[in-house]
Amino acid sequence: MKKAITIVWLLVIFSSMAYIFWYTDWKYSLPTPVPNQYHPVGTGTYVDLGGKLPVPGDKPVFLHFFNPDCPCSRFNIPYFKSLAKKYGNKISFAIVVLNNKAYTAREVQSKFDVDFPVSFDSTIAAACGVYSTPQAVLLDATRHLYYRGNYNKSRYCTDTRSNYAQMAIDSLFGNIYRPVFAGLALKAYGCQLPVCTQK
Amino acid sequence: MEYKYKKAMVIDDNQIDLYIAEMVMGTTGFAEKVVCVSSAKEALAYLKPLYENPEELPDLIFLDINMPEMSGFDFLNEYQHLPENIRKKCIIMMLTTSLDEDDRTQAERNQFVRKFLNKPLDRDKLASIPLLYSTDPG
Amino acid sequence: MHDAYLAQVKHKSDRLMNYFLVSFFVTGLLLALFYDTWLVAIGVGTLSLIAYYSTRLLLPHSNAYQYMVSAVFGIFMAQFIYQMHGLFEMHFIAFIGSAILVTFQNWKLQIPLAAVVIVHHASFGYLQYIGYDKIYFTQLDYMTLQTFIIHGILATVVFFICGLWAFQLKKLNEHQIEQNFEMGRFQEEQLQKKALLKSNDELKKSNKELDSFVYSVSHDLRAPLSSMLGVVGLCEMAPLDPFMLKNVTLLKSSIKKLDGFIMDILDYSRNSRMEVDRQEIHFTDLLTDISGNLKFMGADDQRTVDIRSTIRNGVAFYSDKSRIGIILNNLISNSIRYQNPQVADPYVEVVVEVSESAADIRVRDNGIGIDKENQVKVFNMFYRVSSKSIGSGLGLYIVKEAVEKLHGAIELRSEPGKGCEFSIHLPNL
Repeated sequence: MKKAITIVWLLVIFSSMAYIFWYTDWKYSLPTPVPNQYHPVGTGTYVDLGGKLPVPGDKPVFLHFFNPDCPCSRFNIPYFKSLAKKYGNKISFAIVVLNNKAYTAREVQSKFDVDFPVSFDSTIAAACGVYSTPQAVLLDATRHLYYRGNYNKSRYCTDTRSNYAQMAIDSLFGNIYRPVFAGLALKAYGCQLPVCTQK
Repeated sequence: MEYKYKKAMVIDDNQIDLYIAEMVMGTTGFAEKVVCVSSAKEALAYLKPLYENPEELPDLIFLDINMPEMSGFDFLNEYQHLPENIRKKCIIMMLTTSLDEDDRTQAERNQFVRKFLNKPLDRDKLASIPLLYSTDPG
Repeated sequence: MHDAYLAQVKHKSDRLMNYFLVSFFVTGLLLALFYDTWLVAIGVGTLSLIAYYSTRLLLPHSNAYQYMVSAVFGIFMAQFIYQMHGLFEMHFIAFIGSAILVTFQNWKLQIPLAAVVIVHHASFGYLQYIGYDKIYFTQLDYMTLQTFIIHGILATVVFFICGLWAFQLKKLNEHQIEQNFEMGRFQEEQLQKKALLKSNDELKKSNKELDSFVYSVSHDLRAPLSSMLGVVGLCEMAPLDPFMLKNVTLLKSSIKKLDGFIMDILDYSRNSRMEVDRQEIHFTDLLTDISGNLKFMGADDQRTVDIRSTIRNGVAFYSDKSRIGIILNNLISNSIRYQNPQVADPYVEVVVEVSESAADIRVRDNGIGIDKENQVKVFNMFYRVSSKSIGSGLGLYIVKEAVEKLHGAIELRSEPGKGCEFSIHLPNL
């Protein structure tokens, strides 16, 4: 009799565990809700950085939208580092920090162990149509929006087949005028701005 | 009367047994003179001075085993330290009521004991003793 | 002994598990700091602990909860991997868990852990393979089948080795316990032996003391008797009138009776308590001694009985000398005592035949014999045939006891008026 009770009880527990895992993952799969006043910025739009970021004018610009409080952003750090390293000489990288707390540029740079320019101006996000972190924005040499989207197909995914940002860069250098990305690349997920309520 | 031996000595702590021995030896003509002592100590005291006068030494000594203070065997231990002429003259017979096998073997093993006899001493037992000569005649 | 040890192992391991499980839970909390995976850390962690402790509570007498620990380690591993979003290094938790399980000294506990790991990997690897991407558990690069197999083999090796060590540890400890047990038993045996030897020695000592007591007593009793006999002898040497002579004779016979009785008691005591002293028996010498002793025996009005002997010994015969002496002495003295006055030449004949296995002794006389009715009873203690019997009543009883002590047998054949024949069979010791 006791054995039966134990088995049933354990099944309940394991089901609960499975549910927790599933639920969490489901949450991760949800895209970030689009904010009310969102103004979509299509690809090809000219983005005027207007001196907000000291980037040289001849190379494409890669903007990394980052929020230290966002776990997805934090997870992304090593990957961004490797990207930057790979393409550092061909593209100008910059980090845009979207956070209400006060961080210094130095602090942010040390997180990534880089010396890219850091901006705390959230208008850049609006200018690029970014409403979550982490997001990758690629501007070509003429500052037109080439790619704005996720780094990978899901928040914590490291699947190389869906390294969208990487692919965008490759496309740019492959001289593909307008790359086509699946919904997964473009449907932003991650933390809302500026404060993440849905992690 | 023809006596078998001139002098015999009886060492026994029991007065009656001494009396019996004396009487039997006397009436059967076994010995002319019988010296009775009631302890081994007395016996040694008697014998020791006689080394100067071996004539007076007894021919036979009848020795009881079970005696207080000094037993028959203790006497034999002391006896071997006596001067040679005494030891050569006296012939020792062990006399006892003991049925102990060990006593008997010990007595028979002793170089000085010639025979082992059971009490009481009587005519027949005395008769069974052959005429023994000392190792040193004269 | 073994159960106590098992309980100890269980108790110790359970205590350790408490520490490890709490550590795992806390680790989960620490990992949650990285990517805010609090729900998973607290939820799954707590559920794991509940699973374990409730199993322990519900089924305290089975070791199901130990298997639960194993499974829980697997779940924690999955939890950590998930919390770190696929950090491969978290897989090492499985190996840590495997090693921890060795403490239970039960190789079977590796199985739930291995099962969780394999099922987890296999199922999600397969889902990944078929391209099912609705569940995002797999956060690693595509794992090739080859990689999967290699990982599987290595993991299995770790589990196997831990299982092996658990098994070896158990065997070693069991062996150790058994050895200790054997050692303990051996020591106990030694102690027992010692105690036995000691009590044996004490018995021997008290036996010896009793022996010397009996000797002393009998000696002290016999000394005055011999004096009395001596004095009686003196009386006999003197001329006596018939009245006095008769009195003296009666006195003498009484004294002899008493003396004989004391010697019988001594014989009995010696026989019953002394061990058999194995010696070579020289029958001729023995009979000569006995004859010598018994020559002076017998009532004066009796004639001397002729003691004849025929001894045929091809082989050496070993037995207890004093007991055989007693047997022959008692039988021959009986023959002398109970001689037939009607017969012209009273004799007692001793025939001894020695073989490899035994000696057969026959003591035959032409005395007054014993009638059938009494033949059985004569061997009883203190039994005397008639009031005229001179003996103590102990003689034949002692003979029988001695024969039995030597593992032999005795038989009596007799006809009143004709004589007695005692047949004794004694094994060659």
